[in-house]
Amino acid sequence: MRLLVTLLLFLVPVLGVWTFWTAEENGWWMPETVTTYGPDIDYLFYLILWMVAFFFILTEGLLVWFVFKYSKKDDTKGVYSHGNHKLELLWTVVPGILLLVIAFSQMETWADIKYRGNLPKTPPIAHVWASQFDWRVQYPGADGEFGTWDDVESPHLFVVPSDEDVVFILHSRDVLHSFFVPAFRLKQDAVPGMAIPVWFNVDKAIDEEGAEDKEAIRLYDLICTELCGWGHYKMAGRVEVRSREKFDEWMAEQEANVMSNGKEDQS
Amino acid sequence: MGGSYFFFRSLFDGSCDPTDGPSGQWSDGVDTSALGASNDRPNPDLASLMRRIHIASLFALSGLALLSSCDIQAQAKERSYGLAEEYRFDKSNTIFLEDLPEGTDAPLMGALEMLCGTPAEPQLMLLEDWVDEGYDPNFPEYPVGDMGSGEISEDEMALIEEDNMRVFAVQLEAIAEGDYAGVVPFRGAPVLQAKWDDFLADALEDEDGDGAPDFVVEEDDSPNYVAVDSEELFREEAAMLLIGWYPRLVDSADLYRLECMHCHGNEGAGDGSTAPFLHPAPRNYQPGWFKWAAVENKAKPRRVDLYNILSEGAYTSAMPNFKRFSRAQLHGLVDYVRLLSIRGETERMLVLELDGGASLTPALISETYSDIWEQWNNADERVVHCEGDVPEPTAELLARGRELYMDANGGNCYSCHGDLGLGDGASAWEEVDGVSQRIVDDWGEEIIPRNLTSGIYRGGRRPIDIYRRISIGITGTPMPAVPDTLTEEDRWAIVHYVLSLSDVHDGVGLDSMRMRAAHADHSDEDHDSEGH
Ligand SMILES: [Cu+2]
Repeated sequence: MRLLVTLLLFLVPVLGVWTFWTAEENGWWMPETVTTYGPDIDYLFYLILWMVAFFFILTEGLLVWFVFKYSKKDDTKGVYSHGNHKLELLWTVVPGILLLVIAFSQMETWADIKYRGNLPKTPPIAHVWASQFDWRVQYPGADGEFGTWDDVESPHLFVVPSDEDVVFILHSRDVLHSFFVPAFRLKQDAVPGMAIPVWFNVDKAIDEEGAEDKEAIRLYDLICTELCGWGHYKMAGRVEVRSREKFDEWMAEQEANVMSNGKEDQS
Repeated sequence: MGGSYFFFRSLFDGSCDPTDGPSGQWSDGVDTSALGASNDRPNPDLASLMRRIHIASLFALSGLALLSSCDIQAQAKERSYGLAEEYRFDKSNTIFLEDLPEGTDAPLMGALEMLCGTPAEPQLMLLEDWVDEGYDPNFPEYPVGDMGSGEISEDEMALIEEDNMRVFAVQLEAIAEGDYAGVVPFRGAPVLQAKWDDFLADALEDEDGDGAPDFVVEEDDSPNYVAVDSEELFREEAAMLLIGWYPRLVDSADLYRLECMHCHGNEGAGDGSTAPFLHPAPRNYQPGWFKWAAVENKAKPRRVDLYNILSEGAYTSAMPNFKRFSRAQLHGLVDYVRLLSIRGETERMLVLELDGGASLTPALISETYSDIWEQWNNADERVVHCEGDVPEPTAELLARGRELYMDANGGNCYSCHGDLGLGDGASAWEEVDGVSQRIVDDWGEEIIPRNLTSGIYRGGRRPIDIYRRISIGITGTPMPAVPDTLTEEDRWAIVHYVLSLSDVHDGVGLDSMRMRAAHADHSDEDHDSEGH
């Protein structure tokens, strides 16, 4: 019985290690990244994963061993221990150092992606509005100005050009939402009352099935990653990446649609 | 507390009875008296009872988990459509089902089932003329004369096919590679699934007994059928099956049950289980009125109107956009919503007749049904558009717009939307028994006039959408159409004035200005006065 229980418990770390060992080839992690800063995020992800993996194996190993060793039934009474000062120091200082390693190694990436001072010097392409349970993208339209009568509105679909810096402003109309495009390694909360500039640059032409084609129109999932209400699960959108030329084509179509006099309705 | 302690402990020390340790101690030898617990032995009956309860609850939990993984839709599928209990025609006329002569429910149900089928098998009955013409609205993708209704144009079908290629990419790849087992099930398309299963079973049969599949598929009666007798042809035909997919009403009813029913209800009466929590309430399709259509007030919507509301949503209401569905699925939902609406309106019209003393004759039923169909099929004739192009918003046009906005004989917009467009006009309220209340719409729901400074327009924000709104009004609500005396230019003046109210609002303009100020030298003095 004792051995069986120990073995069962041992399955936990074994399965745990197996899942992250094989996750990449099974496609359980995120899709291949397509943005300029995606590889930096992946580097940090794996750095932390390996650190955690090491301690996971160590602590689970100890746990399993202790369960086996000390589950023996005998008449010995429990012993009160006041701890071991050196041991305490060790397991405080080592994680402390590791946290510092993490803190310092992420600083540059974080600053690059999130600091406003590092925003690409290009005017925003769109305002993205999150609301319960809808993503809506507002483009400036033919006059190039936001908030005017000829603005182009695109529900669900955020169309962007590839191979250039794209800046957009993220808003929420009601509660907290979070803009997450896994293939971009981009996640940003949308906060009511705040206008948050966000940027990315899609420089790799890989679609979610892994095919590579610069000319293709590529679609990526956009999901809300902040529990925002009963319909959170279906707050999905898509980011459509096109070459500059095809992006302009699409935009011209939308602008024409805004100018429609209703004689020829779209759809 | 004690129960779960015993239960989990027993897993580890192999004993299931907490009472078998030395007296006054838990069986692992920890003296409980040191913890201040009672030195008495725990009551064995109580302990074993607790244990049983815990084991039972674990079983119950796993049972629940199993249940939830079953197909609970299966049961709902068998349900039939019901009758409404209450028919509200306008503010003064509401008929209750129970007030109808006794024994009319069953024939009424039967008639409606004959016309529109059941949720498990929705099907529109064909009128006599239709059969002669070769017209069948159950197949909108086929041309008239070929037992279709020709409502899906060739261009639209091409877009649907392109979209299907994206949606079925995984299955198409599997077919191309000959990995037929790898064709994952088609979600929300039971008819397609059944078709594919038959097709595959046929193809994989080995009738000549040479140990290899023959790839012979039974002939079907579709006009451009090609005899399949080789694997190559089979793959081609199988791919066409998916690429050319257009949902049948059964498929769409399935999707409707999954995504729409919880608000719009089984019969489309706007009475789904979540409906009571929503304001504005979900649309009741039964009167055949749809707020965000481009047709005259209370006229039947065009397909494209229903398609647009599905794909764009009614922004900031509980009706989301359904762009995550494929084009084919959205068209299928349009078909199904139309069926529900026609069924519901037929029901209402028949109830009105019955209430007036008529009896339910086949002639009355088919006349009512065909009258309603005629309205749906003539929707195009009642669409509102304008002749000229959308003008630029010049200062004069905006001034004219403001004038008409404030003119009680012109646009008269201010009376509900307020002088500043905040939706706070006096006419949005009425006095009932000395108490000031919001006015209500034809469904009996309170109306809050749009705050025009918010920049949110439920029926779309293109100038033509606003043009239609002011030219049509909003069906079923106190929002009227502007008087016929207003010219096209007058209407555009109001449109541009209304759109200017949200200019540089909710931070959009201001934020982009801040952004731009950092990058360019743009003057924004002229916008600053418009803030909150
Ligand atoms: Cu959300």
